Amino acid sequence: MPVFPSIEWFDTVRTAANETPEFRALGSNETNFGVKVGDQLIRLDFYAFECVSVAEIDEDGLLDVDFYLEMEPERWQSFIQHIQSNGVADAQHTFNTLDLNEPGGILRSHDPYRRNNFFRYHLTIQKFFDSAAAVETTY
Amino acid sequence: MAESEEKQPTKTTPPPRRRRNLKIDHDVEVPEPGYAWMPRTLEWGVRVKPGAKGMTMQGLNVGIYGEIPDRWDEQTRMPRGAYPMAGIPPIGFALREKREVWADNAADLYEEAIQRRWIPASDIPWNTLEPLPDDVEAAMCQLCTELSQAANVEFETIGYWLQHMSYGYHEVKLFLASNMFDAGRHHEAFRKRALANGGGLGIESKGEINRMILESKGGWSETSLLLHLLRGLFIQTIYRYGERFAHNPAEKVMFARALQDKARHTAYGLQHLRYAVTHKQDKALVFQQLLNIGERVFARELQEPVVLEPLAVIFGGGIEGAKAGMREVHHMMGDFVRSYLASTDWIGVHRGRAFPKGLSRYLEA
Repeated sequence: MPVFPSIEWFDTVRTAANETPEFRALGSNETNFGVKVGDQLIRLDFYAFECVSVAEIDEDGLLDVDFYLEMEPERWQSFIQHIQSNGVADAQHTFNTLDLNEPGGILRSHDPYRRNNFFRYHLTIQKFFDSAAAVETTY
Repeated sequence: MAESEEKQPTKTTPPPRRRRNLKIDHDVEVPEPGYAWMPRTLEWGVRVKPGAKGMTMQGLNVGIYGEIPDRWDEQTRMPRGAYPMAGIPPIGFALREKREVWADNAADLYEEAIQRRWIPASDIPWNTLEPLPDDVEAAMCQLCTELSQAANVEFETIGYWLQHMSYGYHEVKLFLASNMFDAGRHHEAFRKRALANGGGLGIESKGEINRMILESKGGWSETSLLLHLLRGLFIQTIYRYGERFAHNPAEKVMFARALQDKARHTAYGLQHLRYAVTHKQDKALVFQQLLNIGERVFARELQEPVVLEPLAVIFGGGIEGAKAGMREVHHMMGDFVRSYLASTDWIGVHRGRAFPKGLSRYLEA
């Protein structure tokens, strides 16, 4: 059973998302972003209609991504567990809403043009994480 | 009904068209074909293959078809890479310099707009709308009236400029055509929301900034500065908060989808404006001057109650909560101003002390 966060977990979600017609139907995209869970950093690359790769990165790697989403491990866990119990993220658990609700927000970037890519593709990113609903997870 | 009966013509069915009898054309003089057009191509044998995103416009930019000149002198509708013809009356395009329209991301943004399109009539779950308290519904309708009209200004403005852009930069023309269509979709979606839940249209603001955008005739870059950067980022921020404060799935989907479109328009605006600044020496100064005026008009118009007040009612859940809602409005404006200033810096236009107090005060939020 994959552990969150780990390459194995994100790879499992990646496979599930890429096989989901609704994920692909949201249209093409081209972005890379980081997921920061405490000290752990994962980079995801999206191209065309799928998530093409996941990789572990260090802090310097955050300079190479368009943007990254940062929450404390407990908040990520609660977010994933919510998706798994609800099937999808509900209205209060979209990344845009979380960014506006959390003090200090969760969306970070060093470049306004690249930060804007989150808003260009936020529904695709959301749908990717919704694919975690069917992934058995340990923490 | 038997098959033979189905095929019987009725009185309302016209008889099938008959092929012309070629025999009767024997007396008509048909000129001997010369096929002079056939060898007229500048590059032949091109075989573009589709990539992971399919057969894209950017993918077609190979060989001479991918040579994008800094100036396009052809004054006809000749497509880039086509064989030029002599003797065609000029059309008189005003925008013939690459720096006046170009953005490196234009072709990709066009493909993205087509591939990520949506349909307000059927993609928004309209049946999830439920009656809201009168004050909240009134505020929502007022906001949607403004957003719908802002989108209307957007497609009318781009429509004016498109005809002035030369054909050498078709990627930009294509993207802006999709930007117009997106704006049409936003006009449609917000008008539908205003008229779908027991309310109705509200009032449109005096429209000083609308007039400024519509009547901006100095150049496309100057218009894009006001349309995509100043007003565009403001609308994008409202869409973000609209998604956050949606009352039902219909509003959630409407704002979430519109946000993706708007971010695409911002992406073009940022790339184009930076390109314009880096390719013309005094362009940053021109933009500074224009923003000195535009920001003040924008800040003055914000004093009108037709946008921020309804937002306060929506954020606060009604008139009773509007005071708390106004604090959220200040947060929203703070987000907008920070995003706007980061963007002006990114294109090479630093606002500094010229930035009006009417907007900088939100930085404290």
